[in-house]
Amino acid sequence: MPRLDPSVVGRSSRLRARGAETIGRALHIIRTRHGSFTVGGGIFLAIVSALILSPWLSPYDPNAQELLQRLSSPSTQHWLGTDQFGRDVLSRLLIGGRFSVTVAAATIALSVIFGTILGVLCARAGGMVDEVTMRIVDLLIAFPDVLVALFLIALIGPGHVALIAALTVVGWTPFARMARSLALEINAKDYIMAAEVLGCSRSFIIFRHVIPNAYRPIAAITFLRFGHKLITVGALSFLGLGVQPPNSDWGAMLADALRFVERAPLLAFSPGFAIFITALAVTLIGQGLEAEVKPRKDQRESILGTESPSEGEETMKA
Amino acid sequence: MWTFILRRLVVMFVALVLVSVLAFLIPYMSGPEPTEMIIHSRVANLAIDQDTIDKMRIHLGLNRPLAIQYLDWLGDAIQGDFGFSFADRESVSVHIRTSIMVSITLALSALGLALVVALPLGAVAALKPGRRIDTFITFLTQSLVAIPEYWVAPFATLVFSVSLGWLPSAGWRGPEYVVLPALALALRPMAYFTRVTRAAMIDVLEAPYITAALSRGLGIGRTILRHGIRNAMPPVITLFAMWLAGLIGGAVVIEVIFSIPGMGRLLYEAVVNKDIPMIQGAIVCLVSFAILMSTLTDLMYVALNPTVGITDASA
Amino acid sequence: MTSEAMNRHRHPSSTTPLLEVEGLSIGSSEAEVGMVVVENLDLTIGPGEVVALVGESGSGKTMTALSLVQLLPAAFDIKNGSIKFDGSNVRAMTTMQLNKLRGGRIGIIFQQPQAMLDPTATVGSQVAESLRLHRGLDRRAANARVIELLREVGIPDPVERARGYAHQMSGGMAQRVMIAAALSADPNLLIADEPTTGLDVTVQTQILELLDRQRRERRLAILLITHDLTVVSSLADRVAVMYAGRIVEEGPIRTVLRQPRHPYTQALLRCSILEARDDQTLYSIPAGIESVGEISRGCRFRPRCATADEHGISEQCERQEPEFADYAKDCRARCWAVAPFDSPLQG
Repeated sequence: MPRLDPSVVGRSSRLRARGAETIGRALHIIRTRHGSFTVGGGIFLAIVSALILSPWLSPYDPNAQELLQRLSSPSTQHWLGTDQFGRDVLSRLLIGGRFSVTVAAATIALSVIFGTILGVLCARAGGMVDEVTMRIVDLLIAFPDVLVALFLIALIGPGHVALIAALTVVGWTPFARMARSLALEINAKDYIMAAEVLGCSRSFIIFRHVIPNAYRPIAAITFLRFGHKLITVGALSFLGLGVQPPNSDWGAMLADALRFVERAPLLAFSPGFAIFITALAVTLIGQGLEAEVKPRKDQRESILGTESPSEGEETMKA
Repeated sequence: MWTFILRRLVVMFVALVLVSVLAFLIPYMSGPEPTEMIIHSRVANLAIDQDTIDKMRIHLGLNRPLAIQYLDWLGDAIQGDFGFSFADRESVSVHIRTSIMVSITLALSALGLALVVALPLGAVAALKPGRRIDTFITFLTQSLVAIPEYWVAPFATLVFSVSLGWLPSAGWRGPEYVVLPALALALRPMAYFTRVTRAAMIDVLEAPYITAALSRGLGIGRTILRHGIRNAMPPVITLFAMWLAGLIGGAVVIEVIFSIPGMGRLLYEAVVNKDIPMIQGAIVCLVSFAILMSTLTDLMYVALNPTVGITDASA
Repeated sequence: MTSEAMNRHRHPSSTTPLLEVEGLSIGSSEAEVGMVVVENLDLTIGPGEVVALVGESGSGKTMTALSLVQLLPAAFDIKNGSIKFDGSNVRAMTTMQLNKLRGGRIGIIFQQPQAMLDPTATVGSQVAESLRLHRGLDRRAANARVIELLREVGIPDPVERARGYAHQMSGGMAQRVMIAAALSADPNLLIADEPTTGLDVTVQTQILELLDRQRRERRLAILLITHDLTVVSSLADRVAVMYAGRIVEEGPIRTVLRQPRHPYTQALLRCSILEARDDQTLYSIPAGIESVGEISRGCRFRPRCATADEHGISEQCERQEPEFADYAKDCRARCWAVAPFDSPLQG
């Protein structure tokens, strides 16, 4: 066999080899994950893709009214029928979903970032800072977020930005708690001390040691809370405090459709189902991740390794 | 342990003060003429002339420093006096009193229903962990968690009220009015209660006294009823308390859908109508209640498990 | 219950053995684990007889006991064998029949008696459970009987104790309570699994005396499971020594204890305090018990046996599992070094 001249084996082949390796690794990850994770992940990816592509996927302009076709049942023209103004429900779902999911996602993203950073800082700082912050966390955790959001929106007015802000104000707490306890736990581990002794820089330690060991519980909570936030966002939009007209999201669609629930049940059913299936998908992802945090143990319920039920309730409360 | 309790109580106190300050400041954050707003909230009759307004301004001491006004307001608030609602000129505290009873009834009904279903479900799942019935129940709880109650509610109403006519669709005029809303509200806590019951029961079933009871011929059913459930209760109870705190104001969507005069709807309508005194009163009550419940449950947990309170994860 | 059945309950036939176990084998439920806990075990207990089952932890004693009332943990199954109680086949019983058996005809007491009591229920109510279940007593009658029972087992101030809770009791008192509960419905057989382990020595003696007294007063048969030969000598009529899931020696207590034939029994005896003399260190058997699961050919005890070398039979011991050899009336041992009806080769 002719020997390959290294200068001839160019970048493209090396990249291809790398690509294959990444695919292989990804497949391995998927295959070894818990069942919930794959099912949830699959559904969620499908939904997100649909939402991202919605401007191209929606057959009609979501705001286009066709008053001759009001409240029609599903047909080949309108797969999910039309609403009271003759607007295509499917298109409205696809476009509206962008708001619902984005608001919830933004809230969670901000909460994770803020909460995790705060939690890690508390763990490092200790002392009064730690005390005070954790007490605040203890307190905020009990609040129903719908209520706090109501209050804040009363002050700053409705709209999806207001929603994100209002929900983040209480939403960061579970992440802070988990991040802090993880940070404390990991800091005490031997391999950290070994790395420090060896002279590794702090950021190196964080990236190579802390994060890979800590991300899973945080990821689990992230998705579990995400599911919950979707429902809360839906609720607030339902009450008219979220996305304002002419924009609409799933919660608002549901509220509008209530009047016609007898005549056209599908109109109310669809946005609710959209919220349900998306929340279910992300909850499944979260539970799949959670199952790996505390593997087996007689298939017992994992409350993510926390001791206090109020901490566990973080992932579980209304 | 006692330091933990003390700290918790201090925090609770501080939080209550903070909330009261925020609530006090609401009029100052929501409009151009806060003092007029305040005056209007303290006067039974809306139609007052400028003269009366000026007199009231002095009478209520609205030109004194804010801190003093806050103390005044706080004094009133503690006695339950938040003034009169802008919407119907009824005393805010009267509204709150009736609404809180409604909310508590609704919350207890929903959570009671959830518990009644969750306990046996969790026990059954714990009996055969990992087998088909357990997998099914776990799947069920996973799905229930994701169901928005405002989605179920209209359809439940459609079936039970409109089609079958068994239950009323809205309002609050008797015990039958609580059924549908409680049902809709109960689904998600049911899922959580089931999971916690299952976990607790699995632990309990491994205990020696269970084997001892079986060895006396009690049979698995009676053993669970007499010895299992009682010992599995503590985490369930804590969860129950937390949910109770959350549902008092957090059931707002259901209250709106079913026209139930509860605290959630009270606050919601106050927000929509910019009914400042009502917002103040409702916020103070709801948030104080949440703070109290949170502290209580934490203390309860410590009472059941005196080793807790050391929040730092030890190496 | 028909009067005939009731009669049988009170006075089981003195010729039929009360408990007859033949060829009992217990292993793990999951095929992959494949652990064998008890192998081919035979055991007989007559009415009113006290049989001691002796062995180290891990020898399968507790599993044997639990299997008698079909209370094996989920991880284990009975693979083979028959269990007959008073003529009835226990393995074929329905759940209802088993529930009548447990507590009604066979009582069990376990180690760590305080853990055996539900911490959230009063002590008295737990003792009363059997009474109400098996004797159909109403609450008042049951409570009265409970007080009597507690007094019988020697608990001072029984009325207060009955109203109290488990955490208020010492180990010895809790064990008395368990005995009361186990015997409350007047069973014919009491299985006592390590009843004195973990208790103070003085308390141990008291508990054993209590068991002895109960035995005499109620004509109770007892299966006494323990690792401690001192416990055995005061109470038992017969003894069966277990090692690695099999019985290696059995016979009347005096014969076996006076001159044990199986090397393991001899070693156990040497370990026990009975044998300790001031100028000697306590003897301990070399190395821990083997993993019961490993199915090996040849005698299980071989790795720890000194006798095999002394007799020059180690090859045979390694090659083949010894059979039972009767060496005296009603006595037998599983050892190649034991010749039937002879003094041991060693002399």
